[in-house]
Amino acid sequence: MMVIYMDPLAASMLVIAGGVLVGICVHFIPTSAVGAMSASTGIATGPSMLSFGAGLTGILSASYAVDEGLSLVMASGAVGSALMVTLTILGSNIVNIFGIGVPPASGQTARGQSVLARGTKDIITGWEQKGFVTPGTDGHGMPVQTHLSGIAGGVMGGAGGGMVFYGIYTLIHPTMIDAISAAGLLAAGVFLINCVLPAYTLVGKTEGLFDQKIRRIHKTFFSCLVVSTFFALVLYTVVVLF
Amino acid sequence: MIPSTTKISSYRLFVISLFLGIGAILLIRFCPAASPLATILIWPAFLSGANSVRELARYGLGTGTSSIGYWGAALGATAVYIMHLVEPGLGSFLGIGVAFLGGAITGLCAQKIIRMRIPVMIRESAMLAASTAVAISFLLELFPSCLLTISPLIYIAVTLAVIHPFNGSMGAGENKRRTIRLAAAEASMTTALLGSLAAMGGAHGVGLSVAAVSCAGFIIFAVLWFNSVKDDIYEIRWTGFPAEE
Repeated sequence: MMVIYMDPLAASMLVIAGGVLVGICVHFIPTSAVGAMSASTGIATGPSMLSFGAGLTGILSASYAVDEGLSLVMASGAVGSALMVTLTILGSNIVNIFGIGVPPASGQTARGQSVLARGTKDIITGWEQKGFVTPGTDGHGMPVQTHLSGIAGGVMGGAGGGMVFYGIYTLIHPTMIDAISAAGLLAAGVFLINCVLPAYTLVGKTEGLFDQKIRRIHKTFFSCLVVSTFFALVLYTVVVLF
Repeated sequence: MIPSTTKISSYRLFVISLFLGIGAILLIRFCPAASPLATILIWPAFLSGANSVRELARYGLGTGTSSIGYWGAALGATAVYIMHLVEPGLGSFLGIGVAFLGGAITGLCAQKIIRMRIPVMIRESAMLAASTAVAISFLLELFPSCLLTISPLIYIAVTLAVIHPFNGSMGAGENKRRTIRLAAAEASMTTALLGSLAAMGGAHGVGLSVAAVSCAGFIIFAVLWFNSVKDDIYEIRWTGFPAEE
């Protein structure tokens, strides 16, 4: 069992950095409320709820590695979270393809508005998107590029959740017996708080890294930085002064 | 019975719920015999939370009503749990303050950094977080010995009690009276559930009295809510079926 030695200030910084990473991850996970009707590219739910689900999975898997040090906590969280996003996307695509009968296609790419790709092709596979988008919709399902963006978001969210969890655990474990449970609860709270701010920025829908809304990521960064700093400061004050 | 013309401002509702809620927390902590009164006093905190969700969500924020509620309750719960690390006695009250401040800061970020044009953003965010903190602090008092075990359930129960009234009443005919009445029914349902659990967990007297008062409250509020639903439905003038000629 590895003994944890971390300065409270460093642990607070970890909470802040993790909180910001959690916020940024929401931009990468493709979600859309109208995706439920296959009228838009993305998983059929709000950005904050899906990211929170991924984050919670990440925190849960991170907690198994808490005695192994920060790097393994982050890795464990990242893998758990990415796995959750991947399986959700897979399930969502199966429903879209075999249930509704629509192929995964990116609406923004089909319109030539993808941030990274030139033209109307999937940047990873090179598959054409334009002819596969149902008229009147903004795409459907998750094509390969969107799927990979979701995995990247899951990795970031899980690693960020793991950082928040580990930071809080390091801060409170000298004073508490049930520090792992308490750290998990508080990390989930911090995760949820940071998930909603990006949802405000995204206005309920994103295709991930290739969406035009990725350009607004700086707003999420600064707002999550402020909120995470506030909570890290409160936590630091509570642990160090009391 | 709340008259249909009642227009209590959200700020006033919050202030009332804050004072009554703090009173309820003190009562249940220092005078368990007064737990029925304390139960009644805590309900306005739920109403205030549900009202703040309504005030925020009706603007169409780009995130679901549930997300707003989960976020607000997360702020309240996180602040209360952190402050319970300091000292359980003062933790609740400090937690309410921290939740209010955290809500205001988040609202400020949404307003100034994300540039959302919602005039009530800062005020309602702060009040939502503080209202949920009040409700969570009260419910935690029912389980002094197993705070960590029961915390997730309390968090989810309070979240549902504040998000569902607006979500359940949403639509073209949504109005404050009906939403608040549903919030009262759900507040009493939540305290009934947690009271029953407290009774089963060992706090028999307090738990049973909280559950009994809550059940009575639930019946009254459910009838009031049902009446307002009926009143609003009767405003529909056409059933969709053409009249027989």
